[in-house]
Amino acid sequence: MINLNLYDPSNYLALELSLIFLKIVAVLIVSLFSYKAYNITKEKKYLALSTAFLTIMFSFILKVSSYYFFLKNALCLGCIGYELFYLFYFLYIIFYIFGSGMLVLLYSEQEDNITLIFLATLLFLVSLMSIKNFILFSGFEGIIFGFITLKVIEKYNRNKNKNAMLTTIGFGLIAIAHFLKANYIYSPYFYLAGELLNILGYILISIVVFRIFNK
Amino acid sequence: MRRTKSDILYDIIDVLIKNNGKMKPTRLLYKANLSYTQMQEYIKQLIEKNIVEEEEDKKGKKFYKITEKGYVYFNELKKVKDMKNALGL
Repeated sequence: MINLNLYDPSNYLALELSLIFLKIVAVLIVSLFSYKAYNITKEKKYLALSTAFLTIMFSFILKVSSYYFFLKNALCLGCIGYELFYLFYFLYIIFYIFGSGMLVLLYSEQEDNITLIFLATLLFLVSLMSIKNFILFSGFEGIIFGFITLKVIEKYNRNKNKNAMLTTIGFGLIAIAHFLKANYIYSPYFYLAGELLNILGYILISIVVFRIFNK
Repeated sequence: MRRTKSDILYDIIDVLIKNNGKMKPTRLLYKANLSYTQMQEYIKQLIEKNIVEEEEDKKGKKFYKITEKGYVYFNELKKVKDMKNALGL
């Protein structure tokens, strides 16, 4: 029986680490092909898309790093490694919130400077508060990806095709995943289910983008 | 919905391809739904990139013709367009 306790180094963590590596690959694929699209068209939105996914990828690397410091000091409470764990975990949250925040700005097609400054400040404040509150972080990310899903559905209704449907499902799964993870205090299975849906979402989006560029 | 720069380039090349790779300026302007200024601007870019070339028929009338590089570029643009539609951008 797998022990699903969060941050339990001997059990669940290894499973989560392997899932994160898959997510890193999936997000990197989307980022690289978005950059290719930028090179072809020279349109800034593709550069923004590539940067957003690259930021999310870095956040995953930071999460892996934080776990490394956690594992390294699992039997040594109060060691310096724990501070490094928190530092990397905080950076993970900041990078993830800013990566997803960039996606929101891209999808909302917002260009007004005051709104952009307001949103950037909001993202930074949520990042600060999220370090101590995982529920807030997950809930906020659920709202962000929920918003993106609605925007993608809106566009899907205009030009219905299979790929658009799959990415809609992908973004939807990521949104649901974050809401599930926000409920981890009720059962660690919510966290596991959330993590699995999260990776499914990213993989679905990356498969669609990969298939388009490799026809 | 407002077309982006790459949408317009895609439409111009698409119209040319559908007409056996060549077309007269006035017809292209009409088929690609462009203003005269827009067409001048985009055709200039396409000629500079060697995607489209300007030629004259036997009567000395000007027409635009897509190059080999143009077909390759069109395929790339099509992929970007597909990605744009898939991601709902």
